[in-house]
Amino acid sequence: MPKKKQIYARPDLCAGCRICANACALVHRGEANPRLGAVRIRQNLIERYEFQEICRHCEDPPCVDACMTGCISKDPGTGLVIQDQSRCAGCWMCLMVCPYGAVGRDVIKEVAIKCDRCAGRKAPACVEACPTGALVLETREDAAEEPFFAEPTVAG
Amino acid sequence: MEYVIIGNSAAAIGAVESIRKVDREGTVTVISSEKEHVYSRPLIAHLVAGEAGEDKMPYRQADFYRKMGVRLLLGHKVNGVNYEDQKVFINGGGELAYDRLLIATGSKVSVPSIPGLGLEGVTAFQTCAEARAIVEMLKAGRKKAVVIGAGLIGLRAAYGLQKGGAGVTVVEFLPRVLSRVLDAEGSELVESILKKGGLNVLTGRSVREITGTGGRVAGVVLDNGEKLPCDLVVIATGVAPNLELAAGLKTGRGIVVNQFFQTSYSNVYAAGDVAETMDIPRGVPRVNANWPNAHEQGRVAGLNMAGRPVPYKGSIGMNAVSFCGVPVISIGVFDPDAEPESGYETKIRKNPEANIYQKLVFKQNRLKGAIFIGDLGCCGAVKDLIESQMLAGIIKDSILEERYQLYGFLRKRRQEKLEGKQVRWPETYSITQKYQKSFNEETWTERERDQRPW
Repeated sequence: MPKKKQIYARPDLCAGCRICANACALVHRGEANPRLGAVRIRQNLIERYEFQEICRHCEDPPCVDACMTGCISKDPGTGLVIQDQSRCAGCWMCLMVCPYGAVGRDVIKEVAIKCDRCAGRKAPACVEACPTGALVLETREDAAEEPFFAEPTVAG
Repeated sequence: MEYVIIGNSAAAIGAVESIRKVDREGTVTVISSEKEHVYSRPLIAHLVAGEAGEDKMPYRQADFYRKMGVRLLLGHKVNGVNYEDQKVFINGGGELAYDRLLIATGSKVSVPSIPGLGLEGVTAFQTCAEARAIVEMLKAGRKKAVVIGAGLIGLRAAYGLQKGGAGVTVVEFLPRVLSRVLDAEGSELVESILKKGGLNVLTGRSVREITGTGGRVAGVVLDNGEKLPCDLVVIATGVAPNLELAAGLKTGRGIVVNQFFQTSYSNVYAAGDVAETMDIPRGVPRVNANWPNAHEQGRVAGLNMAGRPVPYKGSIGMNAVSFCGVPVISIGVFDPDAEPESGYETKIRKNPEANIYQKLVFKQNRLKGAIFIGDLGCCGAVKDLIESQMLAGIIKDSILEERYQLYGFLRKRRQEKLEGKQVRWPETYSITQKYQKSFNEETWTERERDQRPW
C-alpha cells in the first residue's frame, strides 16, 4: 500500500506566529481566531521554543476508541480520521486520550475541534499559509529513519 | 467460523468491526436483551436534558449491521451457555452453536435494599429505554426528582434532569461526591460547582425508605428522618460487572482474562466492562469500566477471535465529564490515600476561584495518575506517560506549569512523538496449532498464571 501524504511538523522552523491556526479557523469556521483552529502552537517565549500540535491521523487512533458518540471515524479509503462535529457532545474523551494533544476544545459551542486535513482542498490551509515551511505535506517512506528533527538551538 | 457476541455496546461493536477486518466470511451473530440499535450509552443524560435528540443516539449508522453482515438477535435474553458443548441458550427456547464466543455483557446496576423500590417512578439510569421513560415522566409534569448516589451516573442523571426542567436533590451515602473518580479536594471543588449550578447535594445521608401513594412515588425518607417529597427517584448507587453468564468461568470481580482476552475456555472471550484486565499504573488485575477501554478491548478481542493474535497492553481507569461547562478528567491512581500501597508522591496546581485543580500522582518517578479540573493542560500527553509507564521524574515539576509542553519530554520519546511514529499491528498469520475445545482442570489460568504479566 503506497504511503499517504502526511502533514509533518518541523518545530525547529516554527516562529510561533499562529498563521496556520488562523488559516485553519478561517477555512473551516469562517473567522480568523487561532483558538478555533485545529493546529495549536505551544510556545515559550523565555526558553524560545515552539511546537505545533497537529493531528497525525494515526493508523490506530485512540480517539476513535474513545469517542462515545461515534462521531470520530477512520476513513479506510483515504486514511483520514474524520470528525462529524454536528454529533459531538463535548465529553472531552478524545482530548483525554490523544497523545499528541491534537484535539482542541471549542468552549462556546462545547465541541471538539479536530483536523480533517482539509479533505476538500488541494493542500491543507495551514501548510499553504505557513511562512517558514514549518509545516510540510509530504510522503515519507519511513518517518522514523529520516532525521528531520533538529535539536532546537538555544537562543542567543 | 461461527462468531457469537453477547452484548451490543462499545465492546461488541469494536469486536464486530475488527472481526470483519480479518474475516469476511464467518457468520457473526450479535445477541442483546435490549431492543435498540447500538446507541451511545453515556449520551442518555443528554437525551434527558433535551440536548441530544433521538437522531444523535445511534453510535453507528443505521445500515451498520447490514454492512458488516451481522445477524442480529435483539430483545433476546441469553439464559446460559454450555461452554463444553459450545452452545448458547436463548430465552424462549432456541440454542445457538458457536466456534468463538465473546461475552460483552457490560455492567448491571447494583440496587440497594431499600423498601419501596417497586413503586412507579423509581428507575435506574443505564439504558436508553429508562432514559426515554424519564423523558416521558418529565413531559407528564413531574417536577421533583431525587437521585440516590452521587457517582458519575448519578451526577449525569442529575444534570440531565435539571436541564430537563426538574428540581433535583442528590443524596450520597459517602461524605463526598464522585468518591470513585476524584480525591477529596477535587470533589469539594466539583460539589461547589454543582451547588453554584443550582443542584441540591446532600452528602453523608442515605435513603431509608421510598414512600408512595397508590403505587406511585411520593417521597423519600432519609436516615435522619427528614422527608423529601418527590415524584421521580433515580437509583444510581453504582454498577458491577454482569456475571450472569460467568458460571464455569474463572472470575474475580469481573471475568478473568489473559492478554488475548481468553477466559478459562480458549474459545470464549470476554471484553468490556465485564472483563478484568491488567491495570497499567497499579500492575494488578482490575475492572476498568469505561467507554474507551470497552471499545479498545472489544477491538483487540475481535482480532484475537478472528485468528490474529494481538496482545492487549492493559487498561487505565479514566473518565472525562463536564459539569456546568467545567471539564473534569481523572486518570489512573487519582487518590493515593485510597490505595493499599504507599509511596506515592503528588504535585498539585490549583486556583479554586477559577475552578482549576490539577494533580499528578507519581510513584518511583513514574506517573501513576492525574486529575484535571477546569484547565485540561496536557492531559493527553500525561495519559500517554501513564500508559507507557516511562520514567518521568526529570519533568516532574514542569508538567503542570502553565506553558509546559512536549519539549519537556525525554528526547527519544519526544522524537517519536514529533515524527509521528505509529503503532502497527503484527503481520497476519493464522493459528496453526489444533484448536482445543476446552482445557482440562489444569487450564491456562493455572498453568500460565506465572507467565502472565500481571
